[in-house]
Amino acid sequence: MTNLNLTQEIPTRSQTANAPLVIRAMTDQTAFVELYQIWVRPVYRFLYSKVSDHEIAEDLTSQTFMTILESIHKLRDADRFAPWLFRIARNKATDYFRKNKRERLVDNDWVWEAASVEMQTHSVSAEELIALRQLLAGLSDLERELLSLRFLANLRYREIGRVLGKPESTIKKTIYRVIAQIQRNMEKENERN
Amino acid sequence: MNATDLDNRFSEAARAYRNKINPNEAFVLQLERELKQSHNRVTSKHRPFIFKPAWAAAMILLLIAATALAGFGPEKVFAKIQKLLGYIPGVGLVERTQLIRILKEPVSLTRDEMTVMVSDAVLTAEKTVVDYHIFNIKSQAEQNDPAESLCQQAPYLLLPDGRQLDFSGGQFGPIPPEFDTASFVLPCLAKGEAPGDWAIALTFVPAPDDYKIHEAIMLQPLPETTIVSDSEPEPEASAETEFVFTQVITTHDSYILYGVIQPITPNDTAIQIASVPVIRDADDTLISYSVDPALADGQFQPQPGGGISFVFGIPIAGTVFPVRLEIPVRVTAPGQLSDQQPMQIACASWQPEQAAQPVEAVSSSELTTCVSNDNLLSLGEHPDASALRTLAIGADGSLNLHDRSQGPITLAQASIASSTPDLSHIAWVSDSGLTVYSSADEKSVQFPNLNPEALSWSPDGRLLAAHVNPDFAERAIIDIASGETVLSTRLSQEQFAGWSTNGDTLYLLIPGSSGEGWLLMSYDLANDKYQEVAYLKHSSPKRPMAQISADGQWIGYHGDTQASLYLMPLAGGQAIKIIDVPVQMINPAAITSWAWSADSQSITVNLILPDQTEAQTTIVVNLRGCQAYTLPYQGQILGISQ
Repeated sequence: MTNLNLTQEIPTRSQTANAPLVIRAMTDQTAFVELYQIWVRPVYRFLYSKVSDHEIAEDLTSQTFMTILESIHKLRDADRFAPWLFRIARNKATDYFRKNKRERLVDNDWVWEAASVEMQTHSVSAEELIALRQLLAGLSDLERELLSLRFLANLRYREIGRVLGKPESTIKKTIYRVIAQIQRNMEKENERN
Repeated sequence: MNATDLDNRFSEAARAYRNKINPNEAFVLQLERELKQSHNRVTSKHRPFIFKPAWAAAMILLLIAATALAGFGPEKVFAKIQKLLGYIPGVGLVERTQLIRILKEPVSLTRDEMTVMVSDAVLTAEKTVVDYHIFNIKSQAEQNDPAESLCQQAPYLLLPDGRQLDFSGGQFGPIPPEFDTASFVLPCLAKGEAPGDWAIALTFVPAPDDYKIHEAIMLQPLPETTIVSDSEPEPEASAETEFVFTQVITTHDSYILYGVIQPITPNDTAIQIASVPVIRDADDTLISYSVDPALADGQFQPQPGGGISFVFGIPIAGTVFPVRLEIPVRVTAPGQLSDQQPMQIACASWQPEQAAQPVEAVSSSELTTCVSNDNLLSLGEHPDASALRTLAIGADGSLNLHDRSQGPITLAQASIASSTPDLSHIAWVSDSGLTVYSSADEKSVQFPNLNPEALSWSPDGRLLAAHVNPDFAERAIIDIASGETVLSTRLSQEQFAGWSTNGDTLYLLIPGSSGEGWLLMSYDLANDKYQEVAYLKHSSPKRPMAQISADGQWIGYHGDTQASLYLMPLAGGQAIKIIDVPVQMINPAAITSWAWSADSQSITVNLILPDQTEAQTTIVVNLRGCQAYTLPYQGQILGISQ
């Protein structure tokens, strides 16, 4: 088996959102809107992956950017804007679940879609797809969140670490392990069929 | 399908699918409009100072200073200037000699369940800053097309003579002194069904005598030159800049430092900021600086001669002076493109005059038992009690800030409370939930959904550790700037003991399993790592009341006898019993609470005296010299500073 090449850094939006823009956004409306345009979609996708509802994801996205607007002038390290932004988005989702006393959905839809689209182009059987779905249902909250931050929000490992308050090496290893697990299970399923 | 087919494809597939999860474009546009509108509101609250008359005044005063220095000497001139310029948080620089007016009282207007409230206003000779809020607009707006519903027309002030003052850059023009009323007009809130033409009558009164205007002290301009190349090991001698510190404002919790970085050879070169400035303190710790948006228009503005201005708010608590400013710059000559020039780090050091002589930490050799049965009942009154600031919860549950000779200010009815060492940031829990208060601007923020059982501030007032969910043993660390929970600790049963001076490490206590007392642990926030520090020997099994000193050198805790208090060096060493009032047979003495002073030179302890059941005595123990005094305060002391 060859490994998925997940440890290789991919170009991300966060690399294009440079610190001077963040600094200008603290006082300049145009710069803030520019920052918003860069990040609104990754934030929305991340929140959607958590709540699986477009309206709620939009509402939480609004709340996130309003909080950013109110607080950006107090951000102490402009280089850490992206982790700060997603930490706030993450907390908005947590607050939402807490206030609404709502069970977290076992939301693997986007992971499922991503994998199944890939598989369908290679004539994968229905059984294989079901097996994949079962596998994804077994992911922990943290594992799903890591995949969302990495592949939907497009954050770098270091940034994900800052969002979750964990070392970069831990993030890298965990994502690698989850993907390798998906891969191994697919192999087993393939052999069985 | 074999596994190889998946190889390298999951991430690509995920990225392809990512583009399918997109928000509705109408929503994206709508939110952008709301943010633009809110940006005006936020800047009206935080950055109303786009006009620059006070800046002009500052520059004129600098010129006067430079001219007058020759004739009268610096002391008289600067003393005179100090009286002229002042700073109001959220408003900016003002001339202190002018009449400042404020809103008489908050006013609001409600129509169709939508409310507009004007909560604050400050009137100077140069501008009018109005703080207003709109509530419940969504219920109406949602009935319309979200993308088109919000009104884009700016508010204005209507004067009694019919003149109109427009809203620009987060502020209005000045209201002439002959008018003490005006109407705040919002042409519309939302298009469609929402009512328009909102007019709210405002009444203004002179600011009271105790209205807080911080002194803005002009500094004698002394250039300091240092340049370090970012990429080369040796500084480049050809590209030089110099710092000129022009002004400092001292607030309760920060120094606001103004200055200019200018090229050595003006007119030939210009300086541009290349990246995020960094400020380190004398311990090489990165300082979390900030800028009041009311002053931010002085940040990184090009200056005559090719220089660039800067303004930084440097926290006092937790900062070891002098600080070192490192500002990445590019120096360009005429005809050069800035991005083709190497980035350099312009550096300079600064320290406030009063910080030049730091207080020396108390050493173990200086400590001994200062309060015992021998002297407890014969302590004299503190000779300078009126010079102290204290925070205490009284017997009736009122949280009182004793601000030197001004007497107590009751902040709230609180069950628990916590403050930073300098009392600049205070948090308490009441029936309204968690409230966070800044004594610098006397503003508070509420978190109604939080009812923590324990609180602990980081020294810089940036983070608040809170035992937020007792049912689930959940301890959270709240970022006060964003109001968000940034981390949760994972232990159980732990109690907060305090923070490191730089706020990077939270100290926690857990019940020790070895019989040697409570175990002190450190929690490294950045790396999410716990580490055992020391056992608190002879600590009270029930209520250790452990607290780290503000200088990070000591931990104090309640002993395992009724009225004993130990201090132990955090770096390691023997615990020393500072208070030792042995148990008596009937109604023994008891320590009910205690606190470190802001300078870590003394402790304040609340005691129930022997043979008394309720009345408490407050004593202050100066560790260096072992002097103990009584204080005329009752209640649970939470903090004390000079």
